[in-house]
Amino acid sequence: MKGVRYLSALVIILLATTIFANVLWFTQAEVVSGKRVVVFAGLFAAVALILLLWSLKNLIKLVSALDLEKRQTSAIVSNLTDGLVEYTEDFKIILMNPAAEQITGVKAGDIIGRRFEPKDSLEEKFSSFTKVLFPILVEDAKAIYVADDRFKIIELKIHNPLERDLQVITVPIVSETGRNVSYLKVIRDITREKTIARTKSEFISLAAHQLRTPLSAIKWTLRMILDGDAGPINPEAKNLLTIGFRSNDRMIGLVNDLLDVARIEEGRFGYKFASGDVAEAINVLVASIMPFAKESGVELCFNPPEKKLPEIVFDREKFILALTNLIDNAIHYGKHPGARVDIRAYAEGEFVRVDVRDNGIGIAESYMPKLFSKFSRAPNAIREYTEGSGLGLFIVKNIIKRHGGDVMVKSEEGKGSIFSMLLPLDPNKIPQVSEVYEEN
Amino acid sequence: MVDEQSEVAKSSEEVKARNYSVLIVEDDKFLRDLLALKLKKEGFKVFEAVDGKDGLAKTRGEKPNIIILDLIIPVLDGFAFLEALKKDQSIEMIPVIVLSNLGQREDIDRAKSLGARDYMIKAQLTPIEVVERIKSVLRGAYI
Repeated sequence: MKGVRYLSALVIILLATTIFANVLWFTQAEVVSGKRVVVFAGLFAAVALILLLWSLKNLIKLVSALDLEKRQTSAIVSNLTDGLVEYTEDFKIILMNPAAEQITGVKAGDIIGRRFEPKDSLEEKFSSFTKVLFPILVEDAKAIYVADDRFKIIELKIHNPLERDLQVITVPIVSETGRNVSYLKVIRDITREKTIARTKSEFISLAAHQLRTPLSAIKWTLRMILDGDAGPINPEAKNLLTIGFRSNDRMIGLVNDLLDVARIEEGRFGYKFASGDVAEAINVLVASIMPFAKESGVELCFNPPEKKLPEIVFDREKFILALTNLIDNAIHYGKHPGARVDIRAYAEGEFVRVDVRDNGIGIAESYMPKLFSKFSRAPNAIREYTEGSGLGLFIVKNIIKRHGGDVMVKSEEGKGSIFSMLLPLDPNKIPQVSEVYEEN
Repeated sequence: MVDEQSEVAKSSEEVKARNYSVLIVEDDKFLRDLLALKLKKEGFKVFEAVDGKDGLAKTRGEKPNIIILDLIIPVLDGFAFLEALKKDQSIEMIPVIVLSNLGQREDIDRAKSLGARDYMIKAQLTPIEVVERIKSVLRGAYI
């Protein structure tokens, strides 16, 4: 852009000089008849002419380059598979590409130059287009990313002309002076992605469910044999059957985790929020895990808070599931002489905070970014406890995020870890809709 | 261990003495057989049904003291079974325990709102625990 300005300035200067030179030629030459002046003016005019021609040539070159660029841009815009709509600050449509036409079911010719308002969504043929322009109109529109007022990514569903899941990205086009000249909406049709994700979750859900029946049958059979329902068994057989029983239980646990993950992803994990005492829930849970901790040689300790915790709104069952995962991890990854797991609960700022501290194997710094991802397991964790599914922390994070809280970790490899769950005191902090929290 | 066994023996005496009967509505033959075996050992009189319709017919015919109901069963599913049971005055009082692998809260809430006394998830229990829960519901309902 600077080049254009520079060139036009040059052209203006040259034009001015040329005119001046010509005027000089026609007037001064006659009045002040002097050979020197004539030659000087002539020379000057010639140079000016050459410069003018040169700058004209450059200008033509520039214009054709601009023209080419425009053609390129327009070819890209019209062949883009994502929809594009450009509009002014007061929602007057400037541009729309064929993909946007196809997705929203309106023709560019009908709307370019037209100003849109939210109430236009009432008109059926503009309903989807208006929703894309004003996503706030769509009840279950979901903000994926909001940088500020100007850049945001939103997911929404339209029903016209076809039912589609869309991702709409709003980008401001900013002038050199930093003013928002216009806005661009990039419309991505994510129907297929959504369908695939849904199918995948449904498959996991179905498969896991189907697995449960035979797993139950194995569990029951082994239990009944172990209980002597089929007659007495010798200690060696009992030993082997116990191993089989435990492996089977682990499998059931894994299937349960898979089901939970599928439900979280489908957004139907079924939360039930109620006011209650977190410390009481912890007490009950710790008592039930105690035998497993003892058997593993880990000292499990919960010191009830000195000051009674304020009651908060939470899903007791899901909270217990999250805490079970953290304690199970602390035990599995902390088995060594002198191993201990300490649980603390206290009010901190706007949160009730629950810490699970172990002195186990810890987590390597390099692994931290992947810690809460599905199916991810740290190398030292795999060595320590081969059967882990890598789903536990994903579930924990999603449960706590659903409460409007967060999970934090402090760890040092070889020394131990502290996992902290923060649950908001203010029930208004609990989000209205569930969103899948996923790390990439 | 000795104590436990004598406890079990005592409670099965109690069941026998009252001659409790139980109807198992479950389409999976293997699970049905296992549970029937265990319950017979505990002194129950056991009836079996393989689908919801069969289950309703046997409920009307045999008038069991308690029903163990799976939810995903052919012809008439467990929820429909519960609804039909509530509509028939001659059998609506019979306590029903759901024994299913549907573990979602919405399923549990739905079954309970339709009158199920208890809800058990197969994979999370052992036959002994199932028997204990049956006995405790029976105690609540008949003693």
